[in-house]
Amino acid sequence: MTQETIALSIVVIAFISLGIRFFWLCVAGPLSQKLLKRGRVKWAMALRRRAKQGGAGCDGCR
Amino acid sequence: MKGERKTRLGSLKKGDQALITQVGNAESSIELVERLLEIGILEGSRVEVVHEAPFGKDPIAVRVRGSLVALRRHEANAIEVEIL
Amino acid sequence: MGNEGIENNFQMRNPQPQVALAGNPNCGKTALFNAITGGRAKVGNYPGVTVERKEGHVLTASGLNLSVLDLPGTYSLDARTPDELITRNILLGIQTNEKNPDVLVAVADATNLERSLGLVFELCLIGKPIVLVLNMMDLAKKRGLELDLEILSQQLGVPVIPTVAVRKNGISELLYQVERLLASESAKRTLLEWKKPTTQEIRQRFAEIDRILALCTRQMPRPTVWTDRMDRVVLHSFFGPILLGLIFAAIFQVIFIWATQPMEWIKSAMNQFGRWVGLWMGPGPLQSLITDGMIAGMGSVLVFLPQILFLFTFILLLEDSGYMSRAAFLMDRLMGKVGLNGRAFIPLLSSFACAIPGVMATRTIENRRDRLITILVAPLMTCSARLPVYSLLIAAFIPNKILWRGIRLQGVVMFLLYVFGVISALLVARVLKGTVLKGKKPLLLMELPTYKWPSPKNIFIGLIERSKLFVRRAGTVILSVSIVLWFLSSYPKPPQSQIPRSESAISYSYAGRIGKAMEPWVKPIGFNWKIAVALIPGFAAREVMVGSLATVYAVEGKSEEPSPEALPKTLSAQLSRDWSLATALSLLVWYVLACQCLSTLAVTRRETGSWKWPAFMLTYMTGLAYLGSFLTYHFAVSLGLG
Repeated sequence: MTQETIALSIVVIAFISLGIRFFWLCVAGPLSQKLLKRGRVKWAMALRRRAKQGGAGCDGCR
Repeated sequence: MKGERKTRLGSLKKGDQALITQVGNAESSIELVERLLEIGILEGSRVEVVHEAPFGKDPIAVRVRGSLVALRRHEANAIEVEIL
Repeated sequence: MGNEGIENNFQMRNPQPQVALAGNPNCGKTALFNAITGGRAKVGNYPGVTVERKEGHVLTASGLNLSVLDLPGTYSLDARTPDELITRNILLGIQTNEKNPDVLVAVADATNLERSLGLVFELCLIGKPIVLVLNMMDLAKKRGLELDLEILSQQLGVPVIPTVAVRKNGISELLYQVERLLASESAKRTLLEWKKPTTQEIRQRFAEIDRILALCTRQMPRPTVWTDRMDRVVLHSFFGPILLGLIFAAIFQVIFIWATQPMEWIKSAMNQFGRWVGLWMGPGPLQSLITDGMIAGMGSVLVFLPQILFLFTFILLLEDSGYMSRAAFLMDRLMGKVGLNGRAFIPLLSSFACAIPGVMATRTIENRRDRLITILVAPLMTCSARLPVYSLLIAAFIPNKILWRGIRLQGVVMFLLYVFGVISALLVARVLKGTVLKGKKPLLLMELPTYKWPSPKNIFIGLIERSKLFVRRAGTVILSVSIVLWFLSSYPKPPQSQIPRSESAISYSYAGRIGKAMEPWVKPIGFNWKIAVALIPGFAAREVMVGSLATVYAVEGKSEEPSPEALPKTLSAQLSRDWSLATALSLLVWYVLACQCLSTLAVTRRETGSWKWPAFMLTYMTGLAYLGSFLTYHFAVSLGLG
């Protein structure tokens, strides 16, 4: 494995982790609203709960 | 002669001592009265104005029922007292 | 409020017994919590509101693993604030996703039973098994309290335990009682209720308390002497504000001077680490990623840990000792003049460390309008995450002169930046008050607690909590962002045939292209494309800005010299070479005013319940920042600093 391959795989991981963070922070909320409207209550509630618990980066940042 | 000087807590000056005769009057909201009672400002308690804030002597800090409570004179005007 | 199906599920999935602590503010509940759980707590938020949720665990002497929930301090259960509502909901078992605690521990301040028993009464009426804790018993006894615990317990119908939380006295007895109650019949009872009391009922409550106290106390504690003596100075009309000003000034000088040595240590440690990596693996993309991306990025942020710790130490000291509420008392009139609540003082002061807990602290402001205004201006208070950029730019552009008796010019400039932040916050609050809907003026009414020696242990626990959170933030977001930025700055590489001069290498990459595209937008305020590039990841978290600048210049610097040293000292040298003073000033002003914190927006959304307000916050702050930078830049250029 060359240096470059390792480096680039790390970059990909970083991208993904930021993407996940972004998802929970910004997308999950409105997405759960949309799901509710379409009648997918279960998914929407599951999304909401995860979003409020784990999503936003600075819980209890006192 | 009994010190029959009735006034409101909001009008007292630093160092004045008084007896609370009524918490809540025509101008005060119920919410204010509830909060005052909960924090221990009750009829029959002695109250003393211990501090006045700089920049205008408002708010004031009063000693009542074992604690030191800060409130604005406007809020204190909900409390009727008799000066001792 | 709740979805009962989900809530019951929760009960079944979590059979671990839970005990909840409730009591007035300032009764030493936190110290009690720390004493029981050893200070290890999971801190978070209740979903839907931004009330802090603190939960810990304790292993009792008989081997039972208890969950301990620290409820917010309140004076009553009448839900005027989210704190009170959450407390009440949890105790009644109707809070979503929250288990109904099995046993309630009511904490009362032994030095002020006449008042602190008020909440205890309300708690007893709910119907849960309950233990009464009389905390700060040592202080009460020292002040002359003579109390018959038996009679008190009899009258109230609950077990009573005296404790001295800061010395861990009484904890084992408390846990023993808790276990007894868990095993008893009353724990099975499920009929819980609460009715809003009328004002007459509140009076009766206290009359009853007085009656009971008359029965069981032979002597009440004498009033304190020291608190009054100190207040004579602290709350003095003239000396009070001066003391307050001195405290602020001290905080800033300490942060700027005393923190320098530990910061140097961290810097050289990072440097050393980078060198090792370079030796261990040969040059190449991975080595560059690690040294220029990860180490440079994270290091330039971790380096500010000492400053942040100092700041938090001050805030915790002021809170723990009881000074904070006096500061709010002194400031109330002034705050009122700009339309802010006296209680807004503490959230805004907390925002000096980080706007996120500041925004969360606004929950104590009952009036919705005042709370909104405070939330919207909290990010303008210079938060600690701005310090890296300020320090960097000040080090690069402000000469290191000593003005007068050890007071440095650089420290003064830093102080002025803080002042600028505060002034802009006050002005914006004023403006908002004129445009946001009018409402009734909120109440100040608050207790000034007796002064306490701050407990070093509790402060230490608090500091550990915060530094863990800060490092975790640096560890995850900032690390990922540094990596991504490194990638954007290094790829695509210019073709081999072209000899890489310092300018062209980075301008060829993705990052460079994005920056160049943004350049026309930022040119009027004096920024170049490199700044534009660094601002984008800087949006995710303010601290990242320095790291991203470091990365941009490090990657660039690499093409000039063989040894990559991208840490702040060399960075500031490069910046002072590359930027004009006008640009630096413009960037400073931008940083004071701009909204560069995704997490603040997220918390604002949680706190206000909709995206409307965070969107508004982002728009107005960006607009304000642009305007401020524009004016600053052109003014500076006109003075010949361009």
